[in-house]
Amino acid sequence: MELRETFRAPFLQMAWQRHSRITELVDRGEVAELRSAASELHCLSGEASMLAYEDVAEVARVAEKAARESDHGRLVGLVADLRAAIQAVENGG
Amino acid sequence: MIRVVIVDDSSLSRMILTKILEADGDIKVVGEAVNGFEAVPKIQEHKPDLVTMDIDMPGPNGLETIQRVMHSCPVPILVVTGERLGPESDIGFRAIQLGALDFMAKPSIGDTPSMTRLRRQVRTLAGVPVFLHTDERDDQGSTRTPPLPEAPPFSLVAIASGTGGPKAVATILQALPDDFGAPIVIVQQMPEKFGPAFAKYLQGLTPLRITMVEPMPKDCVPGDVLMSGSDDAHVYFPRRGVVVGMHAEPYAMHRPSATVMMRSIAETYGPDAVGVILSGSGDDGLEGLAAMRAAGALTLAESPSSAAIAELPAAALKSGAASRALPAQMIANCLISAMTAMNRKTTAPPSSAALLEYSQNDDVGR
Repeated sequence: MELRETFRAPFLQMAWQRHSRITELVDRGEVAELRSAASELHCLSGEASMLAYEDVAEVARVAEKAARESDHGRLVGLVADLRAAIQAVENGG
Repeated sequence: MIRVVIVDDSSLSRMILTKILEADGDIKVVGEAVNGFEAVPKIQEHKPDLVTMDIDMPGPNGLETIQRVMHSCPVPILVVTGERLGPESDIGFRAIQLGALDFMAKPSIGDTPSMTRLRRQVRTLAGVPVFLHTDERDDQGSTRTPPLPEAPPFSLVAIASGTGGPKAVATILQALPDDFGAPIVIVQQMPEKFGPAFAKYLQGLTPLRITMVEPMPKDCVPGDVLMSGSDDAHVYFPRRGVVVGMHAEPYAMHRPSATVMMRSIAETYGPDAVGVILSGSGDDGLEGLAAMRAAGALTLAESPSSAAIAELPAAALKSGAASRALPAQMIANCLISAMTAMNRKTTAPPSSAALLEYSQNDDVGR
């Protein structure tokens, strides 16, 4: 897992940036914005999966599905869960 | 040194892929493209041995980008994607149809075999000859009407296909009519989880019935295309007209093994079958195809010059297991013309000898 440590800092930087954009897009709530949020979530899920941050990957994957289905209500909760999952990585979890 | 260009919109993914690819020292990432627009100029600039291609990207997605690349500066493409690949997704096969050589999920650093697999696949595919995709080339040979010789019947077509083979399988099945008079059985070397997606993809291309070989014995009748379904069973013909997924040890590290399938066909069908080896690496199917030829069956190999991966068909020709090389489209034409001859003459099926004569009359695959 030496590789994971190498990429931990860039991952966190990218993850927080993405989370911030996702939050803005979800707050706006239009269909086009949710589609963009889905793309961000897809990227985040892929990056987390490559680095074996499975909790982040899984929440992002579920949130991507909700965004593609324009399930705004569910998405709001999932974005909060995602924040917690990223925070856990930051805290060394 | 193998030179690679990565096409991926995620900078972090590109960094991780670079680290993984360069770990053994024999692969060098020489360029990166962040989207489909950048891909073509980057490939033209660096002339890499291979391109890794993401699928989900803003602007032209990976599938559109593969099309652009193969129409302007063809290069071996390995799709490395974060898309969920599995029973429900045919995206990998669509990429292959557009010109990619193979596909795989993005590796995870928590999964060492996935990183090893990526490097191995890059080494296998780098530098493989690929061709410009134009409408003219795609249509080449599709309307040929071959001569129709006479001969004894064939009742089964057996196909062994490896890496790069799905496109050839698709080409052959797409060309066969819904009343094609013999069942077709295929061992496709690929991870088991992709089998159902491959079957689903093929079913969209052919009116023939795509089904999976199962543990229970099953009748094998004209109109059926039977696919190897599980990696814990071999495709086996206990008797003529019956196929079963047989649980047994891997043969030469393969399960299903095309050799096991073809040997059982040699024993049960003798000369009344056609054996085909398509694109691939390694040696699975060579012994089986040789057994079919020894039993009197017609044995064909995809032309090494047109196969995505030439190693396996070239070995089949060199060893004498295959009597003839043809491009995938011509293999289909060969099968159709022999069937047509049979339908015109009698109720007897067409023959291996008829096919052999046709294939000898054609010099496309030489």
